[in-house]
Amino acid sequence: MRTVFKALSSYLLRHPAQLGLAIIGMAVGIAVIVAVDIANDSARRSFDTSLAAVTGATTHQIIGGPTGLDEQVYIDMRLNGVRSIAPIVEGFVRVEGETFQLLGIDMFAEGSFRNYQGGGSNGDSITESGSNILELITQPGGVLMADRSARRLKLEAGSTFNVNIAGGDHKAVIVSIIGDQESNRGLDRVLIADIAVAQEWLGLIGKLSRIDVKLEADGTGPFMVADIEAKLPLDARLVNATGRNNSILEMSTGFNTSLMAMSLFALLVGVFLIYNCMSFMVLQRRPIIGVLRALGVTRGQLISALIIEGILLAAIGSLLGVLLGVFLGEQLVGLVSRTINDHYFVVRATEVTLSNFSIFKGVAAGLAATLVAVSVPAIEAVSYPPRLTLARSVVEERAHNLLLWLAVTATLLIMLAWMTLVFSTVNLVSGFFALFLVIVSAALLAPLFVKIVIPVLSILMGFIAGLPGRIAVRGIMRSLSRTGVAIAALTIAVAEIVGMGVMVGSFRENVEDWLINSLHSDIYIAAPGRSGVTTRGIDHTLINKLTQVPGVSHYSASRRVWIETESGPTRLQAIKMAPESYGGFDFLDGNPDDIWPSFDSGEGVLISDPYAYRHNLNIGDILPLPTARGEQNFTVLGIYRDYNSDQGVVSINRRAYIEHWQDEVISSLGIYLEPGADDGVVIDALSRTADPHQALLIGSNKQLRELSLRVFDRTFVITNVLYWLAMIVAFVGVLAAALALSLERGKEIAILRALGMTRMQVSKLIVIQCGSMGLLAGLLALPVGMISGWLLIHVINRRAFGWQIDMIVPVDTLLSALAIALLTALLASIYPAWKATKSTPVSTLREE
Amino acid sequence: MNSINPSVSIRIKNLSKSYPEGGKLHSVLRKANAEILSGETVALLGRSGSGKSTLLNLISGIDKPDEGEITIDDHQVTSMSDRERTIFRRRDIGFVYQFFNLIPTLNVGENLRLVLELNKHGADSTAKQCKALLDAVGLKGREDSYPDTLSGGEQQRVAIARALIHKPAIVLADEPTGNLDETTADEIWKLLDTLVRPSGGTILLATHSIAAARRCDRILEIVDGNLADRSESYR
Amino acid sequence: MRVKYFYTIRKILWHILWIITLTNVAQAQQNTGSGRLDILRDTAEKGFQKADIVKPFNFPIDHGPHPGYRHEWWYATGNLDGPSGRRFGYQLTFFRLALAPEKNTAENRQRSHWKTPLAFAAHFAVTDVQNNDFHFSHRYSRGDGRLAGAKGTPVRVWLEDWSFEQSEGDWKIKVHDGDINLNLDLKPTKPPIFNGQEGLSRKSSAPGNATYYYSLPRLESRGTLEIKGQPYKVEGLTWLDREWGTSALANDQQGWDWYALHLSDGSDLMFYNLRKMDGSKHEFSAGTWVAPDGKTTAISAEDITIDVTDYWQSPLGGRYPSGWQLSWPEQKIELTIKPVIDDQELDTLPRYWEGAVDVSGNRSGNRLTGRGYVEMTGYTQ
Repeated sequence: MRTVFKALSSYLLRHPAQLGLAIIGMAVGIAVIVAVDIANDSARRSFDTSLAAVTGATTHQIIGGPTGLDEQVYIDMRLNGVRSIAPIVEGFVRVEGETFQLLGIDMFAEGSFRNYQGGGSNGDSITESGSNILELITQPGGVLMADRSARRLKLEAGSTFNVNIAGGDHKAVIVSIIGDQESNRGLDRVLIADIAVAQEWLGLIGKLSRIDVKLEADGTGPFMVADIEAKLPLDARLVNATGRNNSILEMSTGFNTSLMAMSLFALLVGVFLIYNCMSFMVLQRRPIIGVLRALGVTRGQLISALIIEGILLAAIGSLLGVLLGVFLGEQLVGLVSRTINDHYFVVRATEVTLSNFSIFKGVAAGLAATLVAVSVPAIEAVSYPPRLTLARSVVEERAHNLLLWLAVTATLLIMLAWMTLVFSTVNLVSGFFALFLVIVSAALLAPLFVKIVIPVLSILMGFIAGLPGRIAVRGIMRSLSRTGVAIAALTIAVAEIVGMGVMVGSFRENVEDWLINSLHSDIYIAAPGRSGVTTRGIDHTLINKLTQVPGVSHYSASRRVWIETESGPTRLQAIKMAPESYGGFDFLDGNPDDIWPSFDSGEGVLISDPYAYRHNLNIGDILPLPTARGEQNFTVLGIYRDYNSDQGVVSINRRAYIEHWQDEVISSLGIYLEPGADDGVVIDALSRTADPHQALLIGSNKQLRELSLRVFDRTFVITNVLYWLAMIVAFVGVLAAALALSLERGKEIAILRALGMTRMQVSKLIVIQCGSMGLLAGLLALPVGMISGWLLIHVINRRAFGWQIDMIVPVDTLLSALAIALLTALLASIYPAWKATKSTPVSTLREE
Repeated sequence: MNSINPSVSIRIKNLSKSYPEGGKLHSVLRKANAEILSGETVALLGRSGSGKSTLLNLISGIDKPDEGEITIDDHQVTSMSDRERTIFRRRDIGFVYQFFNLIPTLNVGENLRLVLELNKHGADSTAKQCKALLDAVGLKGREDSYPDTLSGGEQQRVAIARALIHKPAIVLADEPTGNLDETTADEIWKLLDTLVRPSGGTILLATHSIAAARRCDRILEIVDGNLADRSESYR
Repeated sequence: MRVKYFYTIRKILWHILWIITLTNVAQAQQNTGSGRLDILRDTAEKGFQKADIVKPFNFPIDHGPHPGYRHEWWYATGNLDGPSGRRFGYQLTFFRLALAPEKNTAENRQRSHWKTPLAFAAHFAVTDVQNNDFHFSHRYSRGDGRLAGAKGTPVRVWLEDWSFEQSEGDWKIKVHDGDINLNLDLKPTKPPIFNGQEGLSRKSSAPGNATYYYSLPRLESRGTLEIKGQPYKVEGLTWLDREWGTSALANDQQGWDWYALHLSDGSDLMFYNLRKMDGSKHEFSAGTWVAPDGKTTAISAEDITIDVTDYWQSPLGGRYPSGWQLSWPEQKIELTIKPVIDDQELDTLPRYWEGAVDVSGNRSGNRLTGRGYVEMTGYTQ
């Protein structure tokens, strides 16, 4: 067996480039899946740990209405004997450019959250820095900061620094550093302050963000859910903390799933590559295998030798892949976190967490692909009588027979994809499954496509490059078992580019149109706050002054808040409409002439399309929302197009909002100018008016639009990164195939050289051959990409984010995809072409 | 072919070539010398591995010697660049191999045309030449067949046609019948006699068949890396 | 993960409670030499008034809080009789601790109502003799005047739904603690007594290391005690201690034993025995004798001897005395003191023992019985 192994492996060692490419391909494929997994996992886990750290032993939370919870609610509960509750005032603040969560706590109440009775002897419980802890209450601006944050900001106990909140600076002093135990990691980028400090800084005097409640696991205990609920004001609700955290985490699920699915495409390309390389290495050793078989080595011995070899290679490839994946993952975490920050919730920690499961997934995928890639050709190679194993043409004949079967399989897969879409109408995973099936069947059809297109291409190339052109093109067909797989891999990668390009391009154009249609005001003014949600809003006296500024004609005003519904936080937008505002709503359903009178009279709400999709609401449906007067039913008047939030938005008339929620705060203004007024001049005047009173964000229509598109583009940076990674894998695949071909075609090249082809001509032939493969892949990728684009737009995006997008076919995307395919292949041909010129044709000419 | 000495087609002088084999240098040719006259048909005898193919490769410029020089019609092949040798080869040399070495992805016609195309012949003359030559080798109407649909003998006929199509000054044949049965081999010999020799080119034929060698004008044999004229001893 | 976070919070809390309880309950805790309590000594007294001179008391104002001082407490202990021979003891204590001097800042719209340097702690315990049961709990809160606070005129001290109120000379106790409710009306039968030197009670030789200390020695107590849904009409006698000051800690004291006894002849006896590190009686140990008519006699350290006759091993560690023989030769008083049940230990921070006791003995040969409360600190390690 050892000799068998040696006979087989010495071939590999003599072709290190082949071996290297197989390993690299495997590594990159595995790396991408590991990297995305790490990035996803890290972002979610850091959210999870920080949430867990901040939530603590809380089992339930009392969430107030849009303006928060009156602190008297808490005090009354306490005075009435409700224990195991703790008041929390929280908000997001900036410290030296970083976002921190400010957590205002009442330490006395925190303690009752946990029974620390009998807690250890004094010695181990008090940290050295703990001796200053009293100052959290006594020291103005006293905060606790995690060691990790402090070291990053180069602060220590006693340091003072500025905390920026909604444009205003506050002076903070670290009274103590929270130790850097594993468990405290979740407190990175959290500032813990006394509740009084938090209230004053956040402008939440008299208000609480929430009340944390600790109940027994079954919701019973000395205080029952019902007891607490009975004591709550009408617009407050008691929610299960885990459930609430989950529903927050849930927001980004669509995004995370999409990333994971995209990484699967990279792996798919990787699998093809691995298959390509591994099967080639088996095929090339057919002569050796034939001789070994003739000498009496059994099939079992050969197969196991080849499989063991494959596993060894896979092990090396997996190891490299995981290492590369961790490195890539570290780069991706930032991108993923940023997108989640932009759209969903604040992810503070950027620490990379490497779970065994991520590694396992990557390694398992690599091993499985390798095993398949090795065993199929290995079994095939040893299944012939020894003599036949030597014949090359038999293999190709079989490959050609295979075309039919591949085509049949592909058709079945496409039917399965279609059935999947018909029978599951909302499930995201099945959407991806369908997309996956389509891509796989495209890959399976690739060889047939090649067979059909080659004759045409051969004539074309004959014209362009003469007989060497035909040799090159026909060579692709002749080695279809090799080139087919490489072309399939490249097709998948390019189809992904086309699909994503079509989707993102369509999406962007839709968003741009929507921005133009919905942003009517000339100037926007907003109180600073995350997602436009602010507790304080723009001071009413200031609003009067601002609207008096010369050049201002009239204005619209809105207030954005989060309200806590059964299904988690809901974004509510209260609007005081300007005459122009009406045109900004593009109703997907309902007649504007019917909708507006009802809306203006406060009879119902408008919901954005994603909201309607997520909550399965139609016009005329009843939407219950918790108001200051208890839960009230609102009629859905209209469903409008909106790309603000994939969680959806509920819009309500401002008067109705004030009536139901008793909240007069205005968080943003849309200013309309007098005819002829210059927006630059007015912006300056508005800024001068606002500056002495309040820090406000003031920008022109154009600036807001640009900003929106910038955020949009930022969101898709990661998708670009992913498909470029898939391209790299595909590149390695084509390179490997090209190298394999030139190696296999060694004799043919020798003949051509003997017949008088110069080195340049031979190189050109190889370049033409690779280029043709690229072109074939590109051509096939276009329709496949368009189909996946359609699926991405109408199935994936709809299911993951609720977006409804009109598909627009961007011709430049298609052309550039074709160019990318071609360039990739040409790039991959450089090395084999160069290598071919170095070889001397001497030895091969006399061989059969 | 205006040359100072028109009677000498190939001049081999102090030619040495060795290959690394098993870590050692295996010397194939050792200061070999020979002259082959224009229009002459010369047989090259030698045992397996004696250096017959090496010599043919050196003459055609596929390979370079370690030492010595080869002059063909005043052109010193051994001092040419790779590109010059390639161009020289495609123009002045025709090759026939034991294993035919046709391009499998080109059909018969294309295999012939490839050589002309490389020599940049016009398309018109090309087609006619190919047709005529295929007729001559007895493969009329087989232009569109691919090599793997032909028998060995047929393939070798195509190979011969390919070697002649551009009217080379020298035809090099390396065991052209070594892979063929006796009857087919005879046919090929006839073809060589009737088609190649009358073309007026110099022919160098590597073989280990003494019978075949006797058909030639002269017999050279490689013995211990040297070329010896054995025309007399094998008569 | 969650546990660890709370571990941090716990540490923070632990520290505060340590300081609160230490300062208030035991100026003579062990470990006082250790560095962390030095902050109290060094900085925490700045800006506070000190109990350093004898001052006249002014009621009912002095029943209320004394904001200039760092700490203060209202400390009620009493023995109660229920129906059909049920016997109970109770303790209710409010501690007020200023973590920093209170500033008189003008009411500001931008000022959080939570902002206060005041912290309150309260301990509550009930002894159920028949069931050999001892219940205790403790609470902490900031003294923001809503959740917890202390006010004068009318006097009200509260922490959430536990409170002391005083009006028209009478006191009211209201405690709601899980399944235990206590509502008592307390009627003083004797005027306040002033311990130490006219109410200035020195704890060590250092000036200012003292408190203002008065007691309402004998309050007739009546009301209801509800245990697990079962209400009992109760009546008995309560001892109320009031103490405030800013004093720091003494290094040479291990703990103390405090005795407050209501005797059958209508007299009352209070004595606190400050123990030195070696267990011996500190020279600043002192007490007060209250005659039935309310006349008081100061008792100095050397007047009284108390011998321990029994011990009780706490399951949580530490061995407490559990039986005493008190003799005051000058008054010809010999008293045997026994806890009504052994385990009346409060597992708070720090742990201490505070429980109802029975008294029997004689004075000048006449039989004398009584009930009372004993508090012992500094027996745990």
